[in-house]
Amino acid sequence: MSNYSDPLLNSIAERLASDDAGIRRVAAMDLVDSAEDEAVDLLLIALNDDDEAVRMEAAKVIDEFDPKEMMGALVGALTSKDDNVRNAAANALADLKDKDAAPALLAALNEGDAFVVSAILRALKQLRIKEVRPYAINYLSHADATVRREAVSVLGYLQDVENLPQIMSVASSDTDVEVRRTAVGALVFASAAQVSQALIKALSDENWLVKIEAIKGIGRLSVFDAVDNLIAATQDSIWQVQEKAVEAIGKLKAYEGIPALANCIANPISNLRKSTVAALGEIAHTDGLELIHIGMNDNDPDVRKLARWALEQVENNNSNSKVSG
Amino acid sequence: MQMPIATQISMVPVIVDDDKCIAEKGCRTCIDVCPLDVLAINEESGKAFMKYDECWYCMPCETDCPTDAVTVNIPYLLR
Repeated sequence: MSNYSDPLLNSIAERLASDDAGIRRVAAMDLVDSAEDEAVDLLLIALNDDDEAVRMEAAKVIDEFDPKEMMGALVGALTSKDDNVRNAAANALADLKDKDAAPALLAALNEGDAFVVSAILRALKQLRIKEVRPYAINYLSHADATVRREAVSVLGYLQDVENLPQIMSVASSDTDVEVRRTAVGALVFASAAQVSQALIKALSDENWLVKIEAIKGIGRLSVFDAVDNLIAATQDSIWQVQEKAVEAIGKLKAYEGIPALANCIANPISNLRKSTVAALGEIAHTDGLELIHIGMNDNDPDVRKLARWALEQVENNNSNSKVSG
Repeated sequence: MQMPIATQISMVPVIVDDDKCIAEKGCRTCIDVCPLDVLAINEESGKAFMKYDECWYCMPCETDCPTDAVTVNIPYLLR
């Protein structure tokens, strides 16, 4: 006979012990109404049930519980044979955000498969604790790409320049696109001087997603050394890369990039034409007037609207320089 | 005014598949989510059924059913 203070928990406990999987399933569903510390044991029973439907219902209610109270259970659930349970536990751990849980998470890192290690690294990432650094560096050479991606992401979250050499190395040499992309994205906490060469190198990555991440970083950190590379990227075979390059040129107000934008204003993709006139407005240089006028006669009303705005920017900039001159 | 009692189960908009329904195990999901309280438990079979012939076609009974036992037939003109 179960002995909980809540009668509902007693009822759930009794039903979870039933031979009938349907009754156990409904009991697991009822855990949603009793997601308190006392019910963690019952959740664990349901998560380890022989019946898949019971485990599935239990996995659905995991995030109703306070992850701090059931950290041990969640780490244990990462090794469940049921994907629903494993994923639910991994997601709940990612929401943990409790530095007190760090020692237990670090200990669990040593004894798991790739899924477990990835999930724990994801949980540790949010905590931003220095102790995770040696583990993350170690996992950068793991055979599983998901683990390497989480590891480099952990290093990025630490926002410590000490980790830049490792992140840059992954950004340029990992065999997996997603790992390289994550690494390039993880560089942007640093200054332009520290990471400009790595971002420029990433611009020549064979994968367009990595290139886009590099261009976003260049724009965000205002890497003026990369203007020539951005100009080259405006001629990329992938229009999304061209678009990001154009946006970055606008953000850097790099008027020397204006001639390269002639190709983009004639592109059949209207999003690219829109970004081009917007960039011309950001640059606000008279050299861009010819292209802005092309944009004012565009078929797409959004391009025309942005072209009018760009023209205003050039005129304002021009009159301001006359006043100050 | 009381809602009309559903007299012919096969003609009502909310159909419950008795083979899938686990109401007799204690499940009350469809009954709990129905804003009109038109679903009930059949005392003989222990399964859920549409007791009152009234429906807003709001769908949670169908989408929340853990075993996909509930089907809501939306009238053609409301689709």
